[in-house]
Amino acid sequence: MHNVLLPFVGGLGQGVLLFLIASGLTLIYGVMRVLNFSHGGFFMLGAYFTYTLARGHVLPAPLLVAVVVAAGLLTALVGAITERGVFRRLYSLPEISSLLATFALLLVFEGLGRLVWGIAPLSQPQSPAFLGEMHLGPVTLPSYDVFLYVVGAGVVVGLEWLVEKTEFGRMVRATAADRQMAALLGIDVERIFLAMFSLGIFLAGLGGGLVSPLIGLTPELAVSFIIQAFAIVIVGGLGSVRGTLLAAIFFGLLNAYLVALRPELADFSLYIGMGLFLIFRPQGIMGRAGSPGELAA
Amino acid sequence: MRMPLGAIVAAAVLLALTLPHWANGAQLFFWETVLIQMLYALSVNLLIGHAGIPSFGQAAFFGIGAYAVGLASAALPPIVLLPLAMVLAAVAALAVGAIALRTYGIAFAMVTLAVGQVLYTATLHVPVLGGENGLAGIDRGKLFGIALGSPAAFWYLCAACVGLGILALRTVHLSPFGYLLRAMRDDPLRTRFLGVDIRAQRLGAFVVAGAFGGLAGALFAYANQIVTPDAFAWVRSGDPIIMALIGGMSTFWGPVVGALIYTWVTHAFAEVTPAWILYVGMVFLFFVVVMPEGLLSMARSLRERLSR
Repeated sequence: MHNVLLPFVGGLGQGVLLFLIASGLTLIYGVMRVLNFSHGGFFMLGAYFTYTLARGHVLPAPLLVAVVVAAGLLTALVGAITERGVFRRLYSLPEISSLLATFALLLVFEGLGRLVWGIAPLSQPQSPAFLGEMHLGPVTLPSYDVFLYVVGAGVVVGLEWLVEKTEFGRMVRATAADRQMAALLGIDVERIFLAMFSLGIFLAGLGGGLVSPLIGLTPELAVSFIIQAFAIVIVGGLGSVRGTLLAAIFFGLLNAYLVALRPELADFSLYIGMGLFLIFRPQGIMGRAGSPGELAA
Repeated sequence: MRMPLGAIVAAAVLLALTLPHWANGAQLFFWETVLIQMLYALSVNLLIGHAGIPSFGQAAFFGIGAYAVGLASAALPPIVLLPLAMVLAAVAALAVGAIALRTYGIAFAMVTLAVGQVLYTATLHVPVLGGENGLAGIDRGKLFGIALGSPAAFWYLCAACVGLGILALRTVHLSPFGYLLRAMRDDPLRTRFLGVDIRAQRLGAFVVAGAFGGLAGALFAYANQIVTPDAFAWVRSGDPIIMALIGGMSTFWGPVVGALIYTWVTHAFAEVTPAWILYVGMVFLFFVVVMPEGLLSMARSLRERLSR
């Protein structure tokens, strides 16, 4: 029983982390139609900001959470500046040109990471409280995984509420559907773009901050996570938050079970998953990116 | 346009013939790298610039060519192994393209990126491929009884292969097939109305580009005499795109100019700072956003404006 459940627990936590990165990517694509290669760079910044704010010290759990949120906000600030400086020039370019431009930005961020934090791995220690376990009947859950579930659920609910239930969300959906029409109706499209971009980048920074106690921090983080995130948004359907959630959990679980059952295949889990979808459900890979109004669907 | 091109090609050939007489080993190696990058960037630009197929996974075929040489250099001479590497890369491109071309646009870019990453990951796990250390001690062998271990002899082989490769790609570019690719890029729907099987033509372009990517990889392995998983790394798919963009994607010779500039600039920056990737990224960004037409197109439109 335990052999079946254990990968599930860890895989779900990993799925949440993947979702945090990929959801920002899909939000930005859904509204602005820019597939953001540099998203991984912001993820890297979130992880490094957490390390710098915590100065690599062991922090009690509430303080670590506060530091991670602060790192996410700092990353969002960098994102907002980047949006004003670079991204707004890309909205009118063809998709492939903007993809190349954000690829260039990814290189810039990786270079910044090397310049500021160096190429040697840095490590942010985990809070003692997050190293413990929680018991739910017969099931033992690592408490950090439980914390990640809560964060993931909070983000999903928060995004659904923001996009579906609020005035702001209506304007976002209108902008995503037809930005010219939305602008004619008096919606400040530039402000919507700035807000949604910053929100997406905040999620990436938050994801980076939450990953920072789990792995060694190097500038390569920028690249290693973006490929996973791309696979997820493409399988989930570009622009769809729910699809992204399902795909992230699918990839998290697939990886965890392969690690447990067929470790020699574990490093390929991403590509196995992507290949399966491509062969059996190519429409899942295409998503419904062209259709309007599916931002949160 | 015709006259200066002929003169430049003649000068380049002359330069290639005399280079070993006045360049040292390190300089020869640098120029071999430049030549290989030129061929590689041309192969990528056939897809992205001319056929409008956004492949982010050309490293897959570069790596297959390189590893073919790494595995078989002791058994086969370069005159067999170089064409064999091309064939292997072409067959791989046929298989990858047949599946990946079911998608288009950004999804296609991501799928090709993933294919490159699969092979990169495979090199780390399959023992025959040497893991992280790769395959060292590649034997350049002999050609017509001449040992290619000497820098000058290998330089001539490398220059000849790249020269022939460029000639072949130029022929493709000026062939009806080449025009068809550009027509599909500019208006796929109308091209289809003309009765053209678009997916078959795209697959053809993918295979041709894969073959020459494989040749570039094979030459790269011979030049370095070692092949590592870096041959499959995703930056190796990105680099030639940057080169093509700098030179001008809509032109034939753009990638050649871009490869020269890019290789030289990264070489210069990498000696000074570990954060060279930052400056490369900034230059690249400048070209995408401010000068997306690239240097050659800029030069052309400038000349047209002056002659008016």
